[in-house]
Amino acid sequence: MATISVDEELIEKLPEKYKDKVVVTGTDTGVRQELFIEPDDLCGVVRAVKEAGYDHFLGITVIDYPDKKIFELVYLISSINKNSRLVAVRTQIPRDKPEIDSIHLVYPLAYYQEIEAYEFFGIKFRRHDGLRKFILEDNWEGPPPLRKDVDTRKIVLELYYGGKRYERPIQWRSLGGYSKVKETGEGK
Amino acid sequence: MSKKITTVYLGPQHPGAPGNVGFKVLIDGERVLDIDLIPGYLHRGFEKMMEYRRWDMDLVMSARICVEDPDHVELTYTHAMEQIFGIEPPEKAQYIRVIIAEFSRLASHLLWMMHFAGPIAARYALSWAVAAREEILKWFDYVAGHRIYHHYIFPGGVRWDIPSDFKEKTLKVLKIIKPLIKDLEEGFFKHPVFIKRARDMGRLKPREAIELGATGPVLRGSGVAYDLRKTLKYDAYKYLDYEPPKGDYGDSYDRAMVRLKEMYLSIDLIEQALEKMPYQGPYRWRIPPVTIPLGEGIGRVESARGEFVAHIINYSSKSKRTQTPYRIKFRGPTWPHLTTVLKHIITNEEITVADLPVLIGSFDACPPDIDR
Repeated sequence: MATISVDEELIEKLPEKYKDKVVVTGTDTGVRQELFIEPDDLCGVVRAVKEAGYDHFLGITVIDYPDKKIFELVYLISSINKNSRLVAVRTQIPRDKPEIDSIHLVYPLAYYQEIEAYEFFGIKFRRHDGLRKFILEDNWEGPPPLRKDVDTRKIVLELYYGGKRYERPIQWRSLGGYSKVKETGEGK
Repeated sequence: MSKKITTVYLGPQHPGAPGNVGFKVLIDGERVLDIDLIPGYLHRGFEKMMEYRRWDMDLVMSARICVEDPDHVELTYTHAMEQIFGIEPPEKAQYIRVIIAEFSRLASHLLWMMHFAGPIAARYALSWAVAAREEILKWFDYVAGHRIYHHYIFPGGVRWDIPSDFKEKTLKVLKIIKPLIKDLEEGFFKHPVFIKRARDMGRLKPREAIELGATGPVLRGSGVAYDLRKTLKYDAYKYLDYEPPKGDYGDSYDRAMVRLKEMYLSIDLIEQALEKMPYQGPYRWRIPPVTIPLGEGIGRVESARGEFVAHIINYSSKSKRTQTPYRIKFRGPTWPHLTTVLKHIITNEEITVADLPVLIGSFDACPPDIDR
């Protein structure tokens, strides 16, 4: 089981505001140094993380919290030379005004990850010139599909069944799920 | 002579395209000037579907993300889930996982010959490779009960115990496929046509490879010894003794040779694991069924193509255990290879239309992990 301590070089490069905010969490392959930041400081912090030797960008995880009215963005950044150490830079932006700076000038791969966050969550990245539908092109009309308040079942019913209820040939739930079926021997 | 710049669409039906993905290629005569990826032909919305299904159903679904190398995707999901559950698999299961994962890598590399040797018109090479892969699929059928998707790796260990004649049967399979891979090396990897097509084409320098986000054999082909099996030492890799191969020049030839050497390395790792593994003891810890605790886990695994990451977040506003994970995000290794890396090579080097299938083939792309 891999265990790590906080990287001194990272602390040195980080802005004054965040020097004592780095926390080590996780176990096994997910051991990481976590850092919660304000969304406006993103570019500066990410640039500092890169200067500290974390040159391998993994991706952006966007998490939608409708009950807290926020989007949480987790930037996973690893390092080639530092034994694949992981830094998770987390930030939260309001759900009704989802805008944040683009970091594709720091990490080129972020360009495509930001397009993905745009099409699936509707997050706008400032200073990004190619926000468009990429994976969903010609496939999807409607709200950004990975948002929690998008009910795909409802949309599918509207699109393919004219808003009516989909009638299944066997009423699986009325049979009581797996246990009842085994007893009666039906559904084989 | 007049110059005319044209846009051509390559794939997803073109035999030179690596599966379900298209490219928009800007050409000037034979020279390729620019390339853009057109993904989305295999988008099945896994990340959304997984939010609706129970966590153990998600494991079965995760294998479908990459058809050619399903066990590594299961392994990332399993690692992330184990962190949420807070368990570690028993030693025997760790060794079985290594053997399963290495066989999966071997099968994936052998299938890669179809994308790589096909465009070079070496039909013999891919039929030999598929013959060797067939033996591995039969072995998977014998161990896990399935040929393509195995669902054998499970949080807490592996799903079933191994059969009693596991060691003899596995060694027998290795004995059959070893000469076939040797034949591939002699017949294809030393063939002058292959060397002429792949040498000095599609060079990726180490600094650029790191900058653009390449992983796996593409990064190691550029001479960067970065391997998660070696650095994170997950599962039983910490007990085994090996050195991941790497190239030095970073062209298509080096990337291909790294894969060939990795095939031999996989065989070596399986033999080591068979020698060292305990055949007695538990194969799986029981975990509480149906619900998962709240928490967060990140699984990182060196798959056949590079780094595969699964980021699972389980959250509930009522702070109760749930049946379905709140959000799952997968990061496949093909993302950077077909976008940033390919674009970089084409804009910086003189690549012709005839080189393109060989170049794309040398990345061993698995487009479903872009679409998911």
